[in-house]
Amino acid sequence: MKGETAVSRMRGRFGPWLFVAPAALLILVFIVYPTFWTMRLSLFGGLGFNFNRFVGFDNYVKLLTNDPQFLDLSKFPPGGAVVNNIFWLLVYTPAVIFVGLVVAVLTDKVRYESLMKSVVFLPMAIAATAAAIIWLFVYSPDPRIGILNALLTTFVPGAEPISFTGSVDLVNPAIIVAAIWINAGFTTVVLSAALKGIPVEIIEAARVDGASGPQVFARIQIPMLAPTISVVAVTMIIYVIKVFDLIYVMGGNNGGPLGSARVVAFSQYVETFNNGRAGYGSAIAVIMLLVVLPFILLNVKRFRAEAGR
Amino acid sequence: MTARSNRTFIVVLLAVLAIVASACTQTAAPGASASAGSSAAASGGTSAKRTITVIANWGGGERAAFQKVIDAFTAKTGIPVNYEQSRQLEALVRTRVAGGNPPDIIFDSRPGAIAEFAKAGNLIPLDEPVGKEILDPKALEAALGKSFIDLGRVDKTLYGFMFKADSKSTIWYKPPSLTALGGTTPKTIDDLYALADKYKAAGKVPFGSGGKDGWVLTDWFENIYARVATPKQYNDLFVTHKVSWTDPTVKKALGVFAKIFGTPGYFPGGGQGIVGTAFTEGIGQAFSKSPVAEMYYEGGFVGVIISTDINKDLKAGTDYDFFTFPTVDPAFGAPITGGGDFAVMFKDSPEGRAMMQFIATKEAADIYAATGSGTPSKLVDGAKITDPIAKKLHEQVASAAVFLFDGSDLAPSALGGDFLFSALQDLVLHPNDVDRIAQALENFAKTAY
Repeated sequence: MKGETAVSRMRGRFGPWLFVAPAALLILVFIVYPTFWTMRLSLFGGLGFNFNRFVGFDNYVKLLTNDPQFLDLSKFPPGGAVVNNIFWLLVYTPAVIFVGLVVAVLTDKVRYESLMKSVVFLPMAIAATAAAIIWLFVYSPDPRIGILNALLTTFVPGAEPISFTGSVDLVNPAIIVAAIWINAGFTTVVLSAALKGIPVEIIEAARVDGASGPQVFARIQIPMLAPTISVVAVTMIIYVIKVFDLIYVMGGNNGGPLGSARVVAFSQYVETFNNGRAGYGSAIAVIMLLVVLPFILLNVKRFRAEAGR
Repeated sequence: MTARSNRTFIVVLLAVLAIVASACTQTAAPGASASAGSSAAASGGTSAKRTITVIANWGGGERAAFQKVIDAFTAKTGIPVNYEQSRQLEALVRTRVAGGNPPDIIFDSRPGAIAEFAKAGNLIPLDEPVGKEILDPKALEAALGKSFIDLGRVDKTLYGFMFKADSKSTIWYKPPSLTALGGTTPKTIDDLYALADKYKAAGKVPFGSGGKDGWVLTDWFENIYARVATPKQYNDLFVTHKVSWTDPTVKKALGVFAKIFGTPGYFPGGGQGIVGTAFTEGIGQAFSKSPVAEMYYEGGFVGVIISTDINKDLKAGTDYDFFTFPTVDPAFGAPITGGGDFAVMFKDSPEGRAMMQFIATKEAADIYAATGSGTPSKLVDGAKITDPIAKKLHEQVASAAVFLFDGSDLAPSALGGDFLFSALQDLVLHPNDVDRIAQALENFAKTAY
């Protein structure tokens, strides 16, 4: 009897840890350990994955002051992968949420809702690489291949085909449009589900009080969707900071003409693997981690708040 | 209570850390365990031989050509070969080396990268120790000759065997189109301008492009530079950076480059068309079934790609052919610039050695040359090459007075494989900015060596 209670007490104490251990182990081996390894590597110079030349914070200093492909403040507007990533944040994130919201609200009341949502969601089922190749065809400067240039040269007499991915000014918007096409399905589905969660009574009450459609949308639906919108926004922001595949496929191995489509994650890849400067690339990875961290903490905080409610 | 659960937490944490630590020490030395495993498999009683992994960047027709060599090797030795193709060869190999799982043999086209691997201690020397060399010095000498052997050396040690060699001084054209225009193949750069202008006047676009892939542009630049400078200056610019990027010879070459790429009407879609078109798309512009351009500059391998991947209806030598990149300054003649792929060993094993030894034989070189692929091997019987283009290419390489290796492949990766790409794309879009771009290259080069 006495032994049993001891065992059950032991079980009570260690049981939870036993359940957590496998997950914790995986996280330690595949996330925590590599993270610290990367931090250490970022303080080293030289080629390959060797710790053979300690340089302290030189990699960081060079990245932020003397690498025009990463951050170029010498011209106006400033350029480089960091600035480009900010451009993505400012354009892509609102746009993809806007598209998702519009589709969710518009399809909410129609009979073919599920069909419409499936169509918008479909690109989510395509691998990013395949989606990028599809868009390369769409943007092709050859009007016999690219539908955009086919439309342009057919309907605008005398128009010259545009090389969307060959233009320093157009390559970023072009890739962002492809990213919106891929991810709008995600925002649509999440926002649509949240929309369904708004009690009908509230909307009916507003209608009885004489609110118009746009008023219901702006004054009731949007405020009630706010928590969902912010979760979707954080997810999309994290996506933007990590985005790589689309740029790699659509911009070519140089990251767009003159490297103008490079983002932080792309620079990390090029420096580490193409150029073999693992320490330098690791410094970029650490900077990326520092940038993502606040958004992740924001998300964790929200989860805690939800759980506490 | 809190104190106790804290202690429990610490105990569990330590236990987990201990497990992780042991897991990590195991992953830290996987090379040893992997080779132990493979040798156990090799001596496992059966006659089954270990499969070796070979990685190269050849796909499509180039892959099919090399597969014939692999097939002959497997038929002869019974050693199975697992061929992997990757256009991002070094990225893949660096990861595998760092992960303790290097491939047996790779074919790398960049001596700069081979030197990096060698200095990191990743490679097996091919000519050491004396008497037990992987490649017999006499057989090596007979196959390649000194200049091609030396290209595979890092300092004094041989690490790479040059298996494939391609001229990169070839401008591809369509003889019927040239005849219809009433033109002739150009000997000097002024002849080339005149021909291009003649095409333009006839309402045609003279060149296909391909500048989305930066190396196409660096190959153009290297040909031009080799024709306005001495071979020593060429090597000093790329290998050691003793010649600066603001040197008058470099600016002269950049000026010629800017003139070709900056002249309106020379390429489909102008500057943005050039940097928006990838290498194979550019070949298609000139040689597909509905072409929009008349000529295309890139290396000898373009011929194989045309005949296998772009348009099988075209007949080599009649429908497509090449001429040597014309001279710019007659004083420097028309040296052949070129690239090649070196077989490099990452893992020593009897099977790997057998493969290295086989590809150095006349048998392998003849099989490979018969597919129309370029080989530097002197053992090849030229009469057995049936394809007229391949024969002409083999003669161009074999008879070259000066063979200059692809300069951007000799430079450090960050410069030759990255920054130079962007800089030349910049020059394509801003052909008047030679001075600014030369200065930017020099600034970058100062940090790259």
